Order: sequence, then C-alpha cells, then structure tokens
Amino acid sequence: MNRVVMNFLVTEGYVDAARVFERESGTAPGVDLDQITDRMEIRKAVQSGDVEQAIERVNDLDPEILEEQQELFFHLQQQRLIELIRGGQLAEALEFAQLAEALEFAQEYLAPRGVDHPELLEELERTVALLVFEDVRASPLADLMDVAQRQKTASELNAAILASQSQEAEPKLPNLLKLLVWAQKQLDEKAVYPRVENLTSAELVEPPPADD
Amino acid sequence: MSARHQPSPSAWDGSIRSPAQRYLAVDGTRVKYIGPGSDDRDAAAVRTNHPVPADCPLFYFEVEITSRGRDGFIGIGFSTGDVKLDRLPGWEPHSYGYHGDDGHAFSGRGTGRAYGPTYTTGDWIGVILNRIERTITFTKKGYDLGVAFESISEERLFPSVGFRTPDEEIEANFGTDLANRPFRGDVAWIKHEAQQRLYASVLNTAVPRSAKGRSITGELVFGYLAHQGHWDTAAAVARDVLGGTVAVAQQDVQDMQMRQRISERVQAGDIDAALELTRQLAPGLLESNRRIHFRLQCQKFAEMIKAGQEAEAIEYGRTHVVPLLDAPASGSGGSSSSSVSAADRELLEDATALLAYDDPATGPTGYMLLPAHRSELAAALNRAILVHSGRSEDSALEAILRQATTALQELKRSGHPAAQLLDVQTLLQQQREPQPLGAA
Repeated sequence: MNRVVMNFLVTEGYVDAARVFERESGTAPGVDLDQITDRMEIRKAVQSGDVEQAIERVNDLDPEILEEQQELFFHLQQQRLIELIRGGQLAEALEFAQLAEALEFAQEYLAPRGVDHPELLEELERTVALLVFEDVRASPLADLMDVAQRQKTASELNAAILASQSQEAEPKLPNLLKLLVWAQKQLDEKAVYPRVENLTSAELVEPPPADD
Repeated sequence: MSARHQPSPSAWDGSIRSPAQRYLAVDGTRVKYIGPGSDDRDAAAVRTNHPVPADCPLFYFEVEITSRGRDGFIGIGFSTGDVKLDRLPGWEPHSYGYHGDDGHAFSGRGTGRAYGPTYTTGDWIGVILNRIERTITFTKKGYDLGVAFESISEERLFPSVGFRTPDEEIEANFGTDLANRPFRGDVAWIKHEAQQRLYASVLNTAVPRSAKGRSITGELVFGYLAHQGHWDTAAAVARDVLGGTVAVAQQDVQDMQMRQRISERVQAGDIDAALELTRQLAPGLLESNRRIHFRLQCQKFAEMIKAGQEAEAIEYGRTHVVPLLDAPASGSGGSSSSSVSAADRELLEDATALLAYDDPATGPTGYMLLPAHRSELAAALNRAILVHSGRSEDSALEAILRQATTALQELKRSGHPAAQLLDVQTLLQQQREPQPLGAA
C-alpha cells in the first residue's frame, strides 16, 4: 500500500509530501523528485489561476506538448478565459478591457480549434456564456468558476507533461476505487452482502434483513 | 453454487443417439462424414463431451479441415445440448456456425449472412467464445475475422461441427494436451486483447464524487498515513492535496506514539511495562478483553522462564495466569472474541512446557520467545487498544482494498467470467519497474 501511496504522490506531483513520505516510511519514490519540481510549479500556476505563466513554462520545458495536444491547449485557453472573467469581477476598472480581451481571445484561439472537435465547441459556448451573467457564481455555469475546474485543467496538463517524460500519467489509487465500484455492482446481481457505500469512510453497511 | 472444477470439452461425443449418428465416424477429436450427402436432410453434426465451463471467460478451440470432401459443406461453431444433430450448427435456434462453403455466419436459421472467407482442405479455424463480451469470433489460419455473433445468452454451449457431403473430415484441438499439441493460433494474444478491453471497461467505471467536493483519493491517503503514524507526510498531504481542509489531531499523534511504545515493550519481552502503559492508555481494556489480557500474562510467564526465574514464574502462573481462564469477563459478559478460547489454553500449556528445558528457546514450544510471536502479540494488542478506543483497525483505504479484494473473490467463486481475468494487484501495479537513479 505504501507503494500505491507513493505512486499517487509522485504522479500527482506532490514532491514535498513524496520526500517526507520517503523519509518517514522508507518507500522509494522510483523517480527523480527534482524533475517533478518543474511540473509541480506549472501545476501550481494553473491552480492559482496564472494560466499564462503555466503555458510559458510548459513551452520552456517542451514546446511539443502544447503543439501536439490541441484539446489540452484548448482547455488551457478556456481556463485562461475563465480566469479573465473572474478577474473582470474583481477589478471594475479593468473589466471592460479584460472582457474585450477575453472575447477577442475566444475568437482568435478557441473557436478555430473547436471546429475540429464539436464537443470542444460546446464547452466553448458554455464558457463564453459566462460573460452574460453578472453574478456567475449564481449562474448555471458556476461549476466553471469552481476551484475544481482549475484542478481539472491542472491535472490534464500534469498528465500531458508526465506522458512527455514517458512517466505514468494516472495514479493507480483511483483504479482501486473503480474496481470496488465495479465489483460491488457485479456482485449486487448475485448476492446480498455488506457493502461499502461511502468511499471516504469505507464503512461496511449491512444489508437489510430479508423479507421472508 | 460453485462453478469450479467443471470439466472442459476434450473430445467429440460419438455416443449421442441421433438419426445422423450413423453418418459420422467419430474418433476422439477427429470426425469424418460417411453418409450419402445427397441433400440437407443428410446433414450430420457432432458436439463435444462437455459444454464450455460456466465460469470460463474465454474459450478457444481450433478445427483443422483435413479434407473438404465433395463440396466442403462444413459448419463450425457452438450449440446447446438440445439442438438436433441432423442439422449444421447455425441452422437451429441456440446454435451458431461459420460455414466453409460460403463463409457465411449462421445463427438460428437456415440462411446466413456474409461474414468471412470460405475455407477448405488444409485451413485451420480458431473459435473464440468470449463470455465477458458475449461474443463468438473466428479466425482463419490465425487471421482475425472479427466478431461473428453478439449477445450470446446461452449458458451451456458445446463446441460443435457439422457436415453435409461425403468424405468431409476435420480434426479439432481443445487444448487438453498443449505440451504435445500446442494451438496454432496466438491464444496468449487473444487473451491479452480481451483482458485489455476488460481492464479498460473496469477503469471506465464512474466513481461517485465526494459530497464535499474534496478529493476522495486525497482523503483516503491522508487517513492511511495518519493510521500508519506517518504524521509528517499526513500533514504535508493535508496541506498540499487537501488544501488544509483537514489536519492531524494532536491527540491522535500522542495516542499512536503511546501504542508504538507499548508495541516496543511487548517486542522487547517487557510485558510488565506493556501492561502498565496499556492501563494508562486504555483503562478497562484488560478487564473487558480477557483474551488479550490472558495472552499477555502467558507471555509474561514465558518471558520469566526465559529469564531463568522458574520458581517465580510458577508462582506467577498460579496467581495471575490460571485464574484468568475461569474468571468471567467484566462488562458485557464476555463475547466470543473477548473470552479465552481453546487455542489460548494451549498457549498456556506451551508456555508451561518451556519449564522442561534448560534452554527454553530451543524447546519445541520455543516459538513463544521468538520475535515473530512477540510481534504478532504486539499487533494483536494494538488492534485491541484501537477497538477499545472506538477506532477502526484499518484505515478507510485498507478497508477499501479489503472489500475490493473480497468482492472480486466472491465474483470469481460464483463463476463470474470476467472476474476470472481480473486481479487487484495488476490494477495497482506499477507499469514499469522504477529505473535505478544515476544508472549509466
């Protein structure tokens, strides 16, 4: 299990935690943790909303990553647009300029890429629709403004960098959860048994007593 | 209902009574058509001695056309046990066949649909029943012809082959003697491909999101680290992964440090200290859990003998160990897990037997003084303390691993075909071995 935890920390780019874990548990990280630092900083940039810096640093690291992966590039630009809109709320003075910039941006970078990928076009439409809501947090599009959206974009970029370094992109730990959900679902058709209903607590829930 | 140990198809069954039987010469895995072969009414089919076992995820067999006979009206496939044998597989309901004369695929009717190439003398046909995806696929000379039949729902399918014109002859390989008769097709690859698709579909399973919008994996990792006592890592994960939404409780740290000290004392053979610390950390535990108390006292008895204090040991055994065998547990009245069992009585006998040896550690019951035994006792005490203080023995992450493993085992035991190809370790394994750092 220590190896699975280490794999999670390393692939998700938590270098500090991985280092501490290596010292505390004696589990080898299996990769050079220094190389992860770059990746982690890029990730942090996205998580803190500085998409522009992230793009710059990815291009420093390996320009082919964004050249080759249109969908990723689209999502980064989408995030940039979201951040511009977010910024537009904070500073009234800059609002107009930024919104204009955001719109121009959508036309220049996002739309052409969306044409190749209809699903991206739909995402684009949702994102641009943010512009029409005065209070986006109360809009049906609030999820885009969520921290989770930043995490999603950051994870996608992180995975792409890992792949470019021929490292695994996906931690193994979620596989365990998927297997559990799958196996319980299959077993539901065959038996009544104590189930794990809540993945965070992992408490076993006894089945209700049989009717007869 | 266990599906294990079902026999696999190993030979054609020439003993089935049917009007068509007289048209076939059946010899183990070989069949030759010896009937008149004038029209469809002279068709004759044979099936195997056993159906494909119910829990078999992928069944593969090969048929070599040793002679196409007059017209090569051969059909290869599967049928259930009640399909009439005076028809080619595929003509009847619950039968499936790929026919050599036209390359068509038949299922349940006399007209087929275009599927693959024709086949003739010298060709060999591979047949794959995939219970995971409920499909039947054929190969010709190792070339994959694609899925022929989908939504296969029959539980008991027998490999079957049918004939229509004189001197048609085949020989099958059911893989019962692979050392001497290996398959010609790349079965490992076929299995690998099916397994990859299965893994992909399992990994496509949607996992419910955490209600609080936090990372489930992050919380599981945090809980595991705290449970293992990796406090610094837990703190780093709380900060970096969970954004400071959780924190390590100081009380937890202190409790665990105390449990670690108790474990160390047990492993050093210093049971008195372990008992004292246990009373401090978990008041009432030794009174309510008579079993762990008894095991600790037995160990103390054994450790005294080891230290050469035989007389004191005997006195201690009389006053402190034996009474525990009969005394009722306080509190709940003693459940099965907290009262002394027959195995525990043996423990006392083993400990007493140490007295008979000058060097107790080399006696037949010397295991009691080995580090492994002490570690096991230390772990049992640790679990007892955790349970006593209302904590779970395992972290949520370990509980999930255990439940996933158990559920998968249950599926395998119940004959679930896909489960036979899955295992937890493969899903958790690193894809490649870590590269040694700084290697040239």
